[in-house]
Formats: sequence, C-alpha cells, structure tokens
Amino acid sequence: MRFFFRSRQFKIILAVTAALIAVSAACIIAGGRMSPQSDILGTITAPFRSLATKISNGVSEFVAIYTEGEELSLKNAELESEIAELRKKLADYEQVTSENEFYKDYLEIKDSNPSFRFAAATLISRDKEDPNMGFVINKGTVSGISANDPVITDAGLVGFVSEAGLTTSKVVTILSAELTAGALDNRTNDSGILSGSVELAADGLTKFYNLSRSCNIAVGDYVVTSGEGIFPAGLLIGTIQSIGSDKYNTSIYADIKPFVNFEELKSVMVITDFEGQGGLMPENGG
Amino acid sequence: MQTKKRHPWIALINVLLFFTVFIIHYTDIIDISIKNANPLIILPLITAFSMFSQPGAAAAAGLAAGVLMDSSASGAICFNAIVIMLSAVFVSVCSNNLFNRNIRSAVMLSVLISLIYFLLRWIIFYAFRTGAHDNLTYILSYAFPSILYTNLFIFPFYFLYRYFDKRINS
Repeated sequence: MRFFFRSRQFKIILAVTAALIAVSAACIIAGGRMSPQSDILGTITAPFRSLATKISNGVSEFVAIYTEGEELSLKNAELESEIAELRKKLADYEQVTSENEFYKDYLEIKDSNPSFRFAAATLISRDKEDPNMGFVINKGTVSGISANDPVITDAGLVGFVSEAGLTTSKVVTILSAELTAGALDNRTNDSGILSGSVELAADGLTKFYNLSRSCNIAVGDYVVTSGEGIFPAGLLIGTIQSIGSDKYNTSIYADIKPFVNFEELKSVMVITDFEGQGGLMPENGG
Repeated sequence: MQTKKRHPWIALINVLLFFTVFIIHYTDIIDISIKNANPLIILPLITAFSMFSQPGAAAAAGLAAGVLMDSSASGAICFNAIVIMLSAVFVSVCSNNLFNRNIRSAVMLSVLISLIYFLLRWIIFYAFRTGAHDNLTYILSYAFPSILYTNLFIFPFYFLYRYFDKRINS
C-alpha cells in the first residue's frame, strides 16, 4: 500500500482534491455561484434530465388514466354535488366579490406588481437526498436568473435560487431551514419569521415563528411575505395549520401548510427583478 | 500469465450504467424510494466499480460521478466530487492491498462508504444549521433508512463487476 502513497497517481489525486476544495471555497466566497465543473456538466446533462423528466411525467399521466379511473368517477360524483352547492352560493356572489377585492392584489401577482420581471422555468431534476425537496430548473444566468431570486408558481411562494449556473439553477424551497424571510398574517398583519425544519418538511410544512404573544393569528389565516429579506411583499406562502408556544422564549409560532404542492411541481416562475430587490435581510439571517 | 483484453463494450456499459443511475436518482422517471428512504445507488455502484479497478481509474470515475451529482444536489459545491472521488480511491486501494474481492468485502466497504458519506453530509449540511430535534429527525428518519436501503444495491453491482473482471482477465 505504501507504494501507492508514494506514487504519482496519489499526488495527482491530492492535487485534484486541493483544487476542488479551492474551487468550493471560491464559490462560497463569490456567493450563489455554481462550481465551474458542475456548471459545465450540468449544462451538458440538462437535456437528458429534461427528457427523463418529460418521459416520467408522460408515463405517470398514462398510468394515472388506468389506475385512477375508479377514483376519478367517485371524485366526479363528489364534484357534481359540490357544483350544486356552489350554485346556491352564487347568490352571495356580489358580497364575495367585494371581499375578494382585498385578496386580489395577492392573487394577481403580475398585474399588481408591474416592477416584477419573470423567467418561466421547468424542473429538470430533484435532489431526492434533500428532505426539503430542493430541485434544479432549466434556466440560469443566461436567462437573467441570479442567486437569491424568488421562485413562485400561480399558487404561491416556492423558494429562492440558491446557486445559479449558466443554463441551470438550484432552488431551495420554503421547507428548508436555509431560508429565513419576513412574513406576516394577511388578516391581522402580525409579523414574524418564516423558516423550515427537517421535521416539518417531512409533513410538507414550514414554520412561522417569533410572533408576539399578543398577536391575533388564527388557524386558517393566510400568511404572505412581508417584504423583509429576499422576497417582495405580498407573495402568498400558505395557511396556518396549527399554533404553538415556543419552549425557549416568550414568543409563539405557527406551522404553515404551503399553497404549493412541492411533490407535484413541474414548472415555476423566477422573479428576476422587482422593486426593492436586495433589501434588508431579517434579523435571523436569510 | 493472465492477459488483459480490451473490451470497449464494458466501458460503454459503465458509462451508461453511471448515467442511468444518476438519472434515476435525480429525476422522477422511476421512484424507488420507500417513505423517507431514498437509496443513493451511486455509492454501491462506485464501490463495486472501484473494487475491480486501479486507484487512478476509480478516482476518475468517482470524480465524474461526484461532479455530476454536484450539478443536481442541493447545497453542495464540490462536496460530492471530493467525497465520492476519495471514497472510490479508498475502496480501490483497500481491495487491491488489504481485502479479498469477495461479496463480504464488498458489503463491508459499501456500508463503510455509505456511512461516511451520510455522516459527512449530516455534519456539513445539518449538524450546525438546525436544532437537536431536527438533527435526530434527519439521522433516524432519512439517513439511517437510506443507508440500509442503499446497501441492498451492492449485490447486483458486485456480481456485475465481478463478471466484467473475469471477462477482462480471461
């Protein structure tokens, strides 16, 4: 074995390891940049991953036609009864419409935020080792995407771009503890911090914490971004599922069920530019 | 004296195998996960490959596989490239100098490599970033079941590479 440690091969392996550590350090210092070798290989393999994802989606849809046939007919019956109920509710439409005006700004994101610039992207791979459901999209710096850009769908906030390569980018979801952003209760305006945890991510939940004991949040309230941190204000995050008291301080917290279904996610929008981008970060980092 | 033949088809199968394993792991084309246990099939594959390779070839394969993983894995600038490459060299050096190339050694090395990989991953990405409860959740609910599941794949890969080795050395 000692021959190996004296060999030229061993010295080359040591040199490559040192070079990789140096590249890694440089990327960390540069912040949000994909390592050059990953960027090149990521770009080369992106079409294959994209193709594999398309095949996967096609196969899933084909199989679903047969496996979910019975389930669909039951669902259809359920939906028909729901339609009847909705017809009755239509009478209250005018009143509902006026209430909905309040939420309109949040739902019609693009209309109400003319400063937003979007880049549409498709998922090409997922990191199955990541409990927080991080993924890779098929757009990068060439499409104007940079690190810390918010990622959304029409349902709500997905996460942010953690590393941007030339033609691919990595996205960290709101289920991750890596993300910390300001958030507020849409009904009461009580503000707190949004961040995930491994334990909650297993159930597809995230945490809204650092809330004052005197706040009036309730289960079912909508939570939106406050504009503090890397996200613009008013992006829908999710609904409050449960409320608890923090063991270590006087604040309270809430578990949030995100509006976005991360397992079904196929395409996203990246907000590449918005008014106030690069503003203040929340106190806990982020 | 044994003579080594050139087998370009074995090299081609190797490339296809590594790429297929990568696609299976990082896309939804086939979901082989059981609850939170997601097997990292590339670890037993690189272990089996390295057992029957010289350290240089093992390092090159490990580096290529690691860089490919880094292009898709979250929060890992060069982490996989370094860990997988050094793991491959370790396996190759051990099987060339210390162990017999039998199934017991393969299982032992595969378990060792996956334990080291998940331990390093936990230390770098979770241990100091999340609370104690989250750490425990990651180890018990994700890492441990994934390690167990990952090592099941050493059996087919070991026998495949043993077959290739016999063909090359025949």
